[in-house]
Amino acid sequence: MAPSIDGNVHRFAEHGLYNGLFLLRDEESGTFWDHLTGEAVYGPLVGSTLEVSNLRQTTVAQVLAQDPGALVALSDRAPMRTDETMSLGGLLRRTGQRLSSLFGSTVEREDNRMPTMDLGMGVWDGEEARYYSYDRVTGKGNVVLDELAGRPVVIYLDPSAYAIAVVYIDTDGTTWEEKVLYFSDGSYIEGGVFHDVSGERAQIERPHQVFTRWYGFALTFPETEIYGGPRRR
Amino acid sequence: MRSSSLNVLRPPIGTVMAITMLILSFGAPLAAQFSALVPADPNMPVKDGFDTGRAIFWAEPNFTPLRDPEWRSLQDVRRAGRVTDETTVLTFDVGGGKARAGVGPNGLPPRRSGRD
Repeated sequence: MAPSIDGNVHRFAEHGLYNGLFLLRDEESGTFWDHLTGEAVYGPLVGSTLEVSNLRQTTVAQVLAQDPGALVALSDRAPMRTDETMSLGGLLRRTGQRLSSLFGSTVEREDNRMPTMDLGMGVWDGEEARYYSYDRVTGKGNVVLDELAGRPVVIYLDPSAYAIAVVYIDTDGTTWEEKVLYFSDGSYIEGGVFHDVSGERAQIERPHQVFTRWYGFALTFPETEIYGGPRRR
Repeated sequence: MRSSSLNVLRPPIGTVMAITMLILSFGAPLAAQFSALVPADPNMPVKDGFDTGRAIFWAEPNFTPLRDPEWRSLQDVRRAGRVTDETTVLTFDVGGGKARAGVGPNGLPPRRSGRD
């Protein structure tokens, strides 16, 4: 979410829990916000929606490849979880767990089409949402060609970032060469950076996406489809 | 996080969001001591479908936001050895292909090679 309301920057902090996900509250108005959709859900500004855009999980090398002048903010806060717990391996090892009683108490009914703690990429564009399980993307050779909201998308697991990413691109096929993902027209993604057919760095459009647990995405987007999964009954 | 409505020269609030988002999406600390609860105010506007009866509201945040951090050159920080090429970060664009990254203690550690 961009923390700007009517041109004024507001200060946000996690202040609540709903559907097993944290709610953000802005200090200035006391309104509670859904951090995925940007919608005000409780408080004076209900009816407002903040601009949302992508927050990508990547590596220092990829950020510098995209922008050598990138700036960084280092946190000096004490860790609340261990490195191992929050690593991709740690997150994947907990896919069989259930929600804690506290978190579960804020959920009316889970969507049981996937395991609660399954890890994957949730993607949405307008009214359409789809969930790509990490296991299903890796099972397809780390790349999936699909269509979202009438537009072709490619979902891929970037080996240099160890995270799933999604881009809008029209391609007839893809090929991995080492850690480079080539598209049928010769353009490619290397180190998280898109290069056009001439090899020049270029911008590429990405749909809204969040790497998250199934339960949170499904409860936020209850009509979501599941890539390769059962249809809603 | 593309934040066209946010002044590029003043991105700290965006970074607060960047650093907290991973925890928001992946869950709470294992042994968190949560803040005191606040009851729902029946006079407060509520979005249709939002059930305040099963929402939890805390008086204080459980994660201390990182306010107004010092922004540094990522290149310089890497040269100083505080991060490596493999360190995971949350990043957002501020326009014109310029990137901002957040390296925090929660979910943003240097990746341990050979373990994942």
